[in-house]
Amino acid sequence: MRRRPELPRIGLAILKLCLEKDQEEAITGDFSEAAAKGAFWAEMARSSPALLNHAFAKITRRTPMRPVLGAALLLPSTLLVVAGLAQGLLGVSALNDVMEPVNFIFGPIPIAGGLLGALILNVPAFATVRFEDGSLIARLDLRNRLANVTISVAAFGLGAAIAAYAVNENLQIHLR
Amino acid sequence: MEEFVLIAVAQLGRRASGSAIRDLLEGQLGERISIGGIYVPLDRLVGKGLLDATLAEPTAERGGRRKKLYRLTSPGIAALKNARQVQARMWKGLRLARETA
Repeated sequence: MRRRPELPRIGLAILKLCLEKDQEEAITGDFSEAAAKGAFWAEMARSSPALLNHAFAKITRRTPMRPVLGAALLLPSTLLVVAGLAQGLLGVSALNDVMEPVNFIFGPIPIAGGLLGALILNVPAFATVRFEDGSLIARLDLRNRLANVTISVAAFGLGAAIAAYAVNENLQIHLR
Repeated sequence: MEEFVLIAVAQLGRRASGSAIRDLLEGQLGERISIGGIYVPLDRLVGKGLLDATLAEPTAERGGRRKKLYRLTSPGIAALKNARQVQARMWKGLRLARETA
């Protein structure tokens, strides 16, 4: 029987990182055969675009929790916009008063991070970009992705509203 | 590429593992295909229901890891036949176009 080929630890870690569980055994096995021929790193280099492709697919794997997590991440920006509109349009400041103890969630990091996180979690569920045969292919699949699309549109809308408010407050044009 | 992969799976029969498909395609197409690269269309074809994948017995050459063996499903066979018919029709049209030119 032939000697069991040892894979470099770093290489093995990269493969584990990039590949999904159901692919890992078969693809790592193929790399073991390459390692037995002394061509492990050459094959790794040649496979790097495909491994990136696999890694992207792994990251963007669809899960039902994404819209829920996205909605949770959008909570600070939603409260900020609703409270701002209530005060600006209706003169109601009660919402702002109620939220006073949790003011820390309205900092730039929770707001911007929440918007970005919601988009990162949900946009890949219906929009994918992949590298195939030398071409970059973008695909939009909206079937059964209403929740992901809704969260993404809400994130864009909230981001736009907050940006418009920030510009209006900080960059007012004064005519001389 | 996906059509070539389907043909390779059909040609290899029960031996259609990722590495065997890669070797066959490299020989036929005359270009190198990476290990990671062959599994991208294979996974896509499995996702489309055109191929079915099962795990074989582990071997020492592969560090005790199992191969994935692929086989055509009924929709896969139908897709391959359809692709062949479409190609045949298009080539026929190309010949007619040349003759009339």
